[in-house]
Amino acid sequence: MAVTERRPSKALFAAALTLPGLAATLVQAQAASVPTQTSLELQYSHYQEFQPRAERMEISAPSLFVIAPVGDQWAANLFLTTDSMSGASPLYHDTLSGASGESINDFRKAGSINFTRYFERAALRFGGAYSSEDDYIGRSLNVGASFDSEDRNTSYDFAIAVNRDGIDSTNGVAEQETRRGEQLSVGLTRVLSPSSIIAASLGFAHGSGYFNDPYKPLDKRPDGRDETTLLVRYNKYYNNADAALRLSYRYYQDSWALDAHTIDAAWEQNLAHDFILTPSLRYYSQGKADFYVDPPFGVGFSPNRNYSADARLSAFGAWDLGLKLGLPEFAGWRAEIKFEFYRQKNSWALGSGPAELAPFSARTWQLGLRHSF
Amino acid sequence: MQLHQKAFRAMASQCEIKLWSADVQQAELVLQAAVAEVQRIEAKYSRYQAQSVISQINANAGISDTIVDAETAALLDFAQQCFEQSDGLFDITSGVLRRAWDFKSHRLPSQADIDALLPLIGWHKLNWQRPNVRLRLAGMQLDFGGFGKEYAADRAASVLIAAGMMHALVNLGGDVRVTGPQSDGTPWCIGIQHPRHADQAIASIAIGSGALATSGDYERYMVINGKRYAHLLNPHTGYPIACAQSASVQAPLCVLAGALASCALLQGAGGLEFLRAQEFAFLWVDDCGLAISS
Amino acid sequence: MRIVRHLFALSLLALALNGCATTEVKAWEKSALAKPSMAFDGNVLEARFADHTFQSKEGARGNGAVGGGGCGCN
Repeated sequence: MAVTERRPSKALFAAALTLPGLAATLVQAQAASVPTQTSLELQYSHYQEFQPRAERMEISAPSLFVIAPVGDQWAANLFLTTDSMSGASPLYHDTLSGASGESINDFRKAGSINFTRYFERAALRFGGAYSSEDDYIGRSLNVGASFDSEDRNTSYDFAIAVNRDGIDSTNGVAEQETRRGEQLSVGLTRVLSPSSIIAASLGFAHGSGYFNDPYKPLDKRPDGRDETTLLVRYNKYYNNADAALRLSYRYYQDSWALDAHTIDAAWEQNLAHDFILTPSLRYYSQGKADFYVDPPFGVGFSPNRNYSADARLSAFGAWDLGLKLGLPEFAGWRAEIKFEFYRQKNSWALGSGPAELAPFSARTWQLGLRHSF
Repeated sequence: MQLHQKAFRAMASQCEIKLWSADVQQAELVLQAAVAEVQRIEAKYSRYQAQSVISQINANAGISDTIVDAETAALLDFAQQCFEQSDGLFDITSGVLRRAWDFKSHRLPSQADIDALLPLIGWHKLNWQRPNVRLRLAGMQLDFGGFGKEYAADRAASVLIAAGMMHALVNLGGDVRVTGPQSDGTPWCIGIQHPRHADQAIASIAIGSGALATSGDYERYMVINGKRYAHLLNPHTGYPIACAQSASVQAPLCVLAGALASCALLQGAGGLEFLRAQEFAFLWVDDCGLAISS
Repeated sequence: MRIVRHLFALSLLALALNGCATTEVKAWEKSALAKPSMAFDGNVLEARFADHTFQSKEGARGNGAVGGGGCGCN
């Protein structure tokens, strides 16, 4: 039959679009990126560290996020948080070698505001962020744009940001020091199938200024840091299981010769009665910075050379296990509870194992509330 | 956000509109406006109301031109596409066969009855020169029943969208159009009626945007001597088409989904190939009751 | 130039992504993709806190976005 060879749907679609008002229903239905309602999120996060023979550090952080449509084409979002730290920073290498762990009692407040203007197949955004604690002030501005392909299956994203930070350590080591940075990112998101989507982004950051840790003795680092980050994310929805798999891989590399791989996986499972359970797993591995020196502390130090015994710059690996439970909607609110356990060990790094520093663990719990209206 | 809904009868079908909104009063007003839009279309194109546009065109058959408005003109253009794209099987002048086929009578019409009506059928026997339309022969009839319900679903959706209701569903007797997913982003779950068990669903489809329309042999039919005669009539022969039990199509617009589903069923056995050649998701239940999806 | 190599890698990736999508996904087939669980930035606060704590305990930084508030933790 001749009909089977043709595409009557094309001609019928064209004719249907000339029916009064129908084309408009399509355009609006697809330009769904503008949020249609105000959404408020509140969260309380508690983080606690553990290390053998050490005081532990705790962070308590309430935070708030609001996203709201402003008129037909704009949206604004606001983020506010405070975190209170108490306890000591972990032992690591320097304190194991005798230097005392600096006691921390710090309060940080941070916020950001962003505006987005939506166009038919594009969005333009800009915003700023500010954070302040006893010894550090961070300020940044950003502007970005995204563009959708005609079929909305591919989207491209570009963003730049600058930051101007001030450092004034409470122990007098760093006085009115500054750090500045410029960042650029390009991203690509693509719909692979009706149930899978992938996003890749590449970020470059150039930083200059004061990078030493003023609380660590003998710490001397380069006065610049260039960073490259590649992030690939993949989400897949499983209809039969009514679940979503989210995978991500991040590669990081900087001018301190530190490189890192991060793999993240989460399985969001819808359960009966509107409960949602999300187990997650994260693995992180990094190589050491070129000026990091293993214990014993102080060996290899020379006043003219960069030197750090900061265990965060050593080679190590880390596992993070999480479990999140989403509760059914109640009176317009949805609640989520998440528990997370994190552990770092030098021997978990990819490649050859370096000297063992004290392993380090942390556990986090978070309670989140979300309301849309 | 709360789910508001309204059930009503229109176009000889059970209908409902659901929408998510935080404002109870506004939701109620918008629901009323959407229902009113469905009723407006029903009144304007009903064959049973003497003042309707369709009744006027039919009353002027063989006599004079009728001047139609832009909406009716667009629907006539759409009808012409349905005719052309189905090789003449989807013909809005074929409704006159109703005079011979009375599915409630459980009686087959005589060949003479059918032969008397066949000359009154044919899109090419209609003069359509915007804004003038004329059925050339007295006794001819126009019928928008082939897409009226689907068009009304799309129009009701346009009323909802104009009021900013982007989380709404319109279901006019199984022809469904949504303006967007539910308020939490999850799609609407729509059951497709089992062609042989009216109270059961043969499948359910999740849609977050666009439309789903179903055409079936179960809407009007009679069984005589074990043989099923359904209301899907071949305009060339005047007899029911030996067709599949039902065809459902998912498409951006309900009129498009409905027209494709009808075209597919009118193709008879070739309908499945027809649907496969289009780019839309479908569910086909063949004459043995076997469900095949895209 | 390291940057040039990375850009090259990204363009290869872009080509690969385009290549493996064999059929174009239509707007009305995207209901699964619209689910909250399929969003890349589903829970903003959870993600920000995680970024903040990981960043203060690890050498690597960055989550693909630019312009977050800095902190003295690194």
